[in-house]
Amino acid sequence: MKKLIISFFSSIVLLFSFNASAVTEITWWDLYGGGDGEKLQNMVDAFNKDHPDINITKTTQEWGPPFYAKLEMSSAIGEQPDIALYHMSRIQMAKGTNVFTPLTIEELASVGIHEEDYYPAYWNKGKGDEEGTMYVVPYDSPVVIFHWNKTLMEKAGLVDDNGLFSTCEGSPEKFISCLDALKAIGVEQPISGHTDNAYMVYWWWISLVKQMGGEIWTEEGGWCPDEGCKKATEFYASLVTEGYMPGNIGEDSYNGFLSGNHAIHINGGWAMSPVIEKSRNATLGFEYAVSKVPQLGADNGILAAHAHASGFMIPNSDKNPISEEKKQIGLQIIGWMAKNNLYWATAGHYIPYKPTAESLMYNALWPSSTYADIGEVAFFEPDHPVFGIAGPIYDVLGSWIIGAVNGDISADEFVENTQMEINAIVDSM
Amino acid sequence: MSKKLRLNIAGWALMFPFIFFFSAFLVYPSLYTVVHSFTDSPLIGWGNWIGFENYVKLFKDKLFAKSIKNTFIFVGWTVIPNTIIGLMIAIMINRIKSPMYAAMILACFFLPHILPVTVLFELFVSLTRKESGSIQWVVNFFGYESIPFFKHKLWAMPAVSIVTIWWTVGFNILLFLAGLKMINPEIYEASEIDGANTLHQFTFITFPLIWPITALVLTLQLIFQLKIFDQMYLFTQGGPYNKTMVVLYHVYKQAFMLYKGGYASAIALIIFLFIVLVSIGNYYTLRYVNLDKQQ
Repeated sequence: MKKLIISFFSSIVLLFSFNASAVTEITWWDLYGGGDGEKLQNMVDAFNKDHPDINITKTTQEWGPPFYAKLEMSSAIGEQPDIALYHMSRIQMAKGTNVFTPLTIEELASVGIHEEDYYPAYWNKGKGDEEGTMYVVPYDSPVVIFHWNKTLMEKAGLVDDNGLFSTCEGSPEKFISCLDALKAIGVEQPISGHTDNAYMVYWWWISLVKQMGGEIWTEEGGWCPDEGCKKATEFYASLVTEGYMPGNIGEDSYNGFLSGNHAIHINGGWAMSPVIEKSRNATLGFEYAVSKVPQLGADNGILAAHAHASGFMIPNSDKNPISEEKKQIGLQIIGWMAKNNLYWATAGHYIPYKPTAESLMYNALWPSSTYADIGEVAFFEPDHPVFGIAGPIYDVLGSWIIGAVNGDISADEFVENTQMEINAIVDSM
Repeated sequence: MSKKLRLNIAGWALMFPFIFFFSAFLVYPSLYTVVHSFTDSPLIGWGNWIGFENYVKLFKDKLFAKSIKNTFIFVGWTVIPNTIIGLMIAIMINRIKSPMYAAMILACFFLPHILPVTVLFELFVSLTRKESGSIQWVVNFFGYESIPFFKHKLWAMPAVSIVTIWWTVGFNILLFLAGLKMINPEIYEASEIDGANTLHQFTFITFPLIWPITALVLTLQLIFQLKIFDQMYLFTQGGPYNKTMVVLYHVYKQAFMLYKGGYASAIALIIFLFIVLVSIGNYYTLRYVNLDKQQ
């Protein structure tokens, strides 16, 4: 009887042990919610299905400073996730926290990740301090784009022979003429954007600075070393103060575009999915098109479009370093995600992985294929610890840029005050 | 074992959980913060000992000075108005004859207090949304353009203050109501016979007798509002133009955005000492006023 009871309980324990060792649990953290968050979950589900011995549990955290604070603090106490998505602009700032597990070129090659498959700017951004290592493997490049109501643009006679909107490019004056033409056909506020959100404002503003011949940062001059910032701010503010664009507005700007109240909407590529859905269901009410940000410096030979880059990293913890088994699985995930990222492109992100970016299918993907050439004019924020998503720059701009573009303070005041604060932060770093 | 020893052991055993959590989650982190404030530590890990450098830097930091000023402005907007509004509403509820209606009205005023701050944020962002917020209809009805309350340089601080008062006044009403219920109604009857009107009754009976509760509410409000963070973090992020940058938001910024753990600890310690001094000063001032009234 005693033997029977022991055998019974042993078999129960063995049964659970068998189940426990059959599947490796992997924790994944990211900060992509909304439409592209759903797509990312679909990708994770597909990976799990393809790999029955691995189960990724994906957690989406709040976007911005909370995500990075949690990631770094969890690494400090040894409770870090096994893999995470990370904005590459933060690498310079975060290096000192030892949060990155360096991935060698050989390790990445073993899962099919090779330097030559990536556009150099993206690959170089993810490099580790040690030669031949990567801290973050590029995955995508979220970009701010222009969403167009092509029906209204056609009505205003602003669509060129290629079906694009080159009439609105070349110079700020040409852009304004475009908006005037839209006003003439009864579009009260031709353009909309999140003018109450510092991030969204900044991400187009930074392109404008470059297009107007300026820089936001130089080593010698610091923040806004020339007239570019002032010109860009004045131009942006004029759109609001002269009635082309609603001021101090958030998500309603997007809803207004969907309702046909605005001909142009500034938003990320990540905002495309719901519009594409409506367009395919014929519930949108207008013909939809997208493009990279208009090149207002083209007449002066300046082409520029700001881009982010994000990628996969394996968090490091001195207290509880990742096991070799889980590290190999993390590398496997990175390799699989790279090979299957065409689906991720449907979320509106530019893909810096050449086999995908140069494929026929990616270039036929509607509507994001219309800005497939953004890689040629894309630039990142400078490689300095003061930059980076959710970093000091964003905090300072959060206080000043919204007022500046809404005409509440002058461009000079904006530049002066941000220079003071940002340069003080840099001096203290 | 003697009875006294047994009782002592029982007492200590019952207190032990509190002492443990108090020590682990308050005393130890506080001591850690004190030590940290003398180093150049980042957010995670230790740095080098730098003595009083952080404190010297603090007193030269213009943003710190601005954050102190903003905190006091916020206290000015909230502490006394919150107390007065709480007292007035409590007096009105106290006058309701039907206990059922009084309880219902009290529940309505107390309901906001149980909301988490994130729900409060979503609610007021929705109400004040420029294109579609209900509050904007009222603004437009009076002939004004929609106001981005939490982004406006003049409105941001008052708007957060009003939201805070709406959110927290229920607790004050509860305290005042408890105090008002303790006043013997015969005093009011006697005063009516002597010809006292409502104003006389409030000035010479209600206010003096409710003074200890008022002092408590003022002290609690002062402590709570000096520690303001949640609403600023959610509604304004310290803007616009740092006009709502309060001290604890400055601490958060230094620690979690600029990774200056040591400096943030120094600011936190200074604020802690300041709040202790202000609370003690407030207590003795109000106590002196109370003794003065009794004389």
